[in-house]
Amino acid sequence: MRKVLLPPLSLIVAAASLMAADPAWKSKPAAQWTEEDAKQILAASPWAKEITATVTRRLTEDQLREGGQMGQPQGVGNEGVDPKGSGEKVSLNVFTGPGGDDRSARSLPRPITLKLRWESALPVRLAELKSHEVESPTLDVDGYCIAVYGVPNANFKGDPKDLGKPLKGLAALKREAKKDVRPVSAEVFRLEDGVVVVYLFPLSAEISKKDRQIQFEAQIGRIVVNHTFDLREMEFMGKLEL
Amino acid sequence: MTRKSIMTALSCFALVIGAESLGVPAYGQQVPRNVAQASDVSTAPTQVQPVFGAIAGVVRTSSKLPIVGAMVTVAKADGKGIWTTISGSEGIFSIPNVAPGEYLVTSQADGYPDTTVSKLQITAGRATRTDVIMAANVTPQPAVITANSSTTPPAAPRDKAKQSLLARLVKPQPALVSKSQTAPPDTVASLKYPPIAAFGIPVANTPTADVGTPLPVPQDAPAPAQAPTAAPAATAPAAAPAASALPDALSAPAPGPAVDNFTPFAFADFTWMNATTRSKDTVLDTKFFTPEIRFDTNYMTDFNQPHDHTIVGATESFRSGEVQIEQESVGGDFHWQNVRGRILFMFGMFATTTPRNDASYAVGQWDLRGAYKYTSEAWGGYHFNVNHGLNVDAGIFVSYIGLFSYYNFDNWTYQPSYVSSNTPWFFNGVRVQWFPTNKLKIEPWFINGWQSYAKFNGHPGLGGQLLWQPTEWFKLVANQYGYGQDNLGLPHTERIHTDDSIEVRYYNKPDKMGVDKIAYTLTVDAGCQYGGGIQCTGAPSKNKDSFVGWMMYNRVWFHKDLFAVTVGGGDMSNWGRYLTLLPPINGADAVTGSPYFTQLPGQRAHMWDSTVTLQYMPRQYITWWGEFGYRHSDIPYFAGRGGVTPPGYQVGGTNGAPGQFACMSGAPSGASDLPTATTNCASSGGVWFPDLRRSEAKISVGVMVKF
Repeated sequence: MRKVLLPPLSLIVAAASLMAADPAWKSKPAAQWTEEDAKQILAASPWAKEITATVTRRLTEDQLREGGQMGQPQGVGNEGVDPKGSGEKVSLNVFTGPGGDDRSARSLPRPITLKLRWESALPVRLAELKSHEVESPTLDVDGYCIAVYGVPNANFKGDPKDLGKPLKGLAALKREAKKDVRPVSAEVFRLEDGVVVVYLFPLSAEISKKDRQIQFEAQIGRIVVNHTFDLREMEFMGKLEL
Repeated sequence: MTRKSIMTALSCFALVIGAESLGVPAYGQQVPRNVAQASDVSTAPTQVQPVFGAIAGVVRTSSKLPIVGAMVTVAKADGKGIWTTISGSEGIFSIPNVAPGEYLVTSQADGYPDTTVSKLQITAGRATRTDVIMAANVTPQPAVITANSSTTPPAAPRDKAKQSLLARLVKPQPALVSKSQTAPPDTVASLKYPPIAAFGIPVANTPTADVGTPLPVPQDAPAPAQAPTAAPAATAPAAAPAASALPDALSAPAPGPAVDNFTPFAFADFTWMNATTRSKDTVLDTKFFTPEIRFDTNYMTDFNQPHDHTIVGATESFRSGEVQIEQESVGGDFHWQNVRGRILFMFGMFATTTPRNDASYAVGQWDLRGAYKYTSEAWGGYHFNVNHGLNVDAGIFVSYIGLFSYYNFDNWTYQPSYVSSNTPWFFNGVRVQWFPTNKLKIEPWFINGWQSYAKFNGHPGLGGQLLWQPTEWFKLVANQYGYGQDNLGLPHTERIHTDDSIEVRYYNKPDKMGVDKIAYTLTVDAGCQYGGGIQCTGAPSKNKDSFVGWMMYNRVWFHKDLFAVTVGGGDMSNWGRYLTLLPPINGADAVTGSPYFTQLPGQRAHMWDSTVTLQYMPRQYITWWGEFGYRHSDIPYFAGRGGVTPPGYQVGGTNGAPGQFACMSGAPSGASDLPTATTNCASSGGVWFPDLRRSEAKISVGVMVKF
C-alpha cells in the first residue's frame, strides 16, 4: 500500500512545489494563463505590489500659514484621507489632560494600503485582458505607466489631466547613479472604491536590467508613496517588461 | 510594398510579438481546439479548411508616411459584422478571420479626417490588401513616424511588438468615457474604459499580426450601448482602508519615514519651537474660513507695589495687582483657491498698549491709531504655485523681529526679554513670501516703517526675513531691516537693524515620563541710526544711536509635554534709547515723549532681565502658567511704589500734558524744561516726579486659550 501511495503523493508534492515555485508568468505561456493566474499577476506580482504608504499628518492652520499655505489643501490625496471622527475632541475639562498627547488621530501620520501596478508592462496588459478587467487606466501616450490604486475618493470632479496636474511634479523614478526620471503626465481616474493615479514616465528613461532596482516615489496630496521594484524580477519571456 | 512583402513583414512581426506569438487569444475569444499554436502558423493553412479571409494593408499619409496607431474598422456592408484593430509600426494593420463578403474599411487617426475605403471584397482563404491614405487636416500627431523609424536602435527600451500591443490597448474610444451616474461625463474624472468594439469584442483584442488564429464568426447582435458597469471584484485594486476602520493613531504602528516633502516645513513637527503654536489640531476649519480665537488673562504682582498699578517698560506686562485681560482676539484665515486673507481683531489691553509705541500716527490726519487699534492682523493676498509657494500679501501683519510671537500663547515665556519686547510687533506694508524649497522661506518687506501705521518721513522701510528649518531640531531665522526714516521729527535719520535667532532642540525623548525634551533659543540683535546729525558709532557726545542685545532661553518639558519650565533672560544696550520703551509717565507715549525719561541721541539705556516660567498644558488649546521675573536697568526706569501717575489721578491717569513736568498737585507745569517747571510749580508744592527704580521683580500667573 505504501509503495502504491508514495509515487502519486510524490508527484503531487512535486507538482505543488513546482506550482508554488513558479508563478504563472514564469511557468506558462500567456495563452495558458487561467483567470486566476491573471488575477494574481494583477494583484501580487513583480509588476503589481500592495504597499503600505503614509498619510502624512493633517497640518494645523498655523502650520499651513507658516508654510505659506492657507486652508487645508484640496484635491486628490488631500480630501477624503482623514477618517470621519478623527478630528480633535475639545474637552470641557481644562484642568487636567494628557498634555502633549492631546491630539487627534489625524494629527499623526498613519499607514494606508495602496497598490502599485506597472500598467504598461506586457504581462499586466495581458492579464487585464485575460481577467476581463475593464477598468484599467488608460493613457493616450506610450511610456512607462505606473498606476497607484486605492487613493481615497472625495467625489473629485474635473478633467483627469487637471486633477493630476499638481501630482505630476511630485513623482519620480529613481535609480542608482542616474538622474531621476520625472513623469510626463499624471492623470486621475475615479473608481468605485477610490481613485487611481496614473503616472506616465517617458521611454527615454531607458530603464534596463542593469539598473537592478528602481524606486518609485510619489506624493499624492498627503499620501507619500515610496516603493522599490526589483527589475531582475520583472522579466517576462526573457525580457524586462515595464 | 507587394502583398508578399506585407505578409512577410507580418509573419516576422508575429515571431517577435512575445505573448501573441504564443497564440494568446484576444479577450473574449475562445481558441478552438483544432487551432495550431502560433509556432505552427506556417502549417496551419494545411490543417484548417479555409473559411475566412483576411484584410491587411498600410495606413499612410498622403505623403506616403506610415501612420501608427490609427484605428482601422472593417464593417460588413450588410451590417452583420464589424472588426477593428490599430495600425502598428510602419502603419501596418491586419485583420484575420474575416467572413467573406463586401466590406467598408474606415481608418481613424488623430489629426486626420476619417477615411473610408468602400466595397472591399473579401474571399475565403485569401488575404486582401487595401491601403488607406489619410490626408492630414492638422499637424500630424507624434503617432506619425518617418519611414526611417524602423531603424530605431535595438537599445530602445521596448520593442515594436510591445509598442504595438500598447497602442492597441491604450487607444481610447471616445464614446465610452464615464461610468459616473452622479455627474456628467465631461465633468467627472472617471476611469476610461478600454475601448469596446461592436459585438462586445474589445478593440484591443484583435491581434495585429495573428493571422493564423481564427476568430469565431461574429454573431449578429446589437452592439452594446454601454460599457460594463463594474470590474470583476476579484481583480479590482485593493481599496483604501475603510473609513469605519478608524485606526487608533495614537497606538498605530509607527509610520515609515515618508513625509510631506513639498509643503514648506511640513516634513517635521516644529510645535516644540518658541513663537510657534503648539497645537496639533485645528478644531474647526472649512474650505473657505478657518476661525481663530485667543484669550489671554493674567494676574501680576510687581514687588515694587506701584500704587497706580502700572507696570513699565514691557509690551506684555501692564498692570499690577489686578486680573487683566491682555488679549481677546477673534478672526481667522480666509482661503479660497489661491486667494487668501487673514484678520485677527485685538481687544483687551493689547488694543491700547501696543499702538502707543508707534509715533507715526502723528504724521498728518485721520487718526491712524484709532483706525488700527483693534486690529493686530489684517491682510490679503494671493498664493502663486511657484516652487514651493510664492505669496504676495498686503496689509497689516505681525512682524517676526525678536523671535517671540506677538501672541503669548505661542511663547515659552510670558515676558520676553528686551530684544523681543521692545522690537516691532506689527508692520504695515507689503510682503512677499517665497519658498524656494520646503525648508527655506525668503520674505522681503516693503513697509511704512518700524512698528508704524504710517510712514514717518521720506523713506519707507525695507527689510526681510530668511527662515531656514532644515531639520526638526533646528531653526534659523534672520530678520534684516533698513532704509526707513523712522523717527518723528528726525527726517534724515535712517535706521538699520539685524535680528537673528536660532532654536535648537538638543534632547528629545517624547515617550519619557520625566524629562522628554530640552531646547534653547538664542537671539542676537544689533542696529543703529545714522544721518541727520546722528551716527552709529563714536562718543556719546557725537549723538551715538545704536542697539546691541541678546537673549537666551532654555526650556525643559516634562511628563510628555504636560509641563515645561523655561529659564532665560537677556540684555540690551541702547544708545539714544530709540528702542527703549517709554515709561507711560503721566500717560506719555511715543508721540508725546516725557520730560521724565528722555530719549535723546547719545543717552544710554542698559538693561537686563531674567525669568523662570512654568507652564502647565493639560490640553493643546489651554496653558496655565506662572512666572517669576526680575529686570534691572542702569538708569531709573521701572515703576516704584509711587508709580508713574501724577497726583490727583486725572482722567486716564494723566493730567493731559504728558510732555510737560507735572506739579505736585497733579496739574501741568506748562513746561518741559525743569527750571521753568520748577518756577511754575512753586505755588503747587513743587514739581512732581515719578517713582522710577532700577529694578523690578514680579510674579505673574495666568491662563491662555487658543483655538
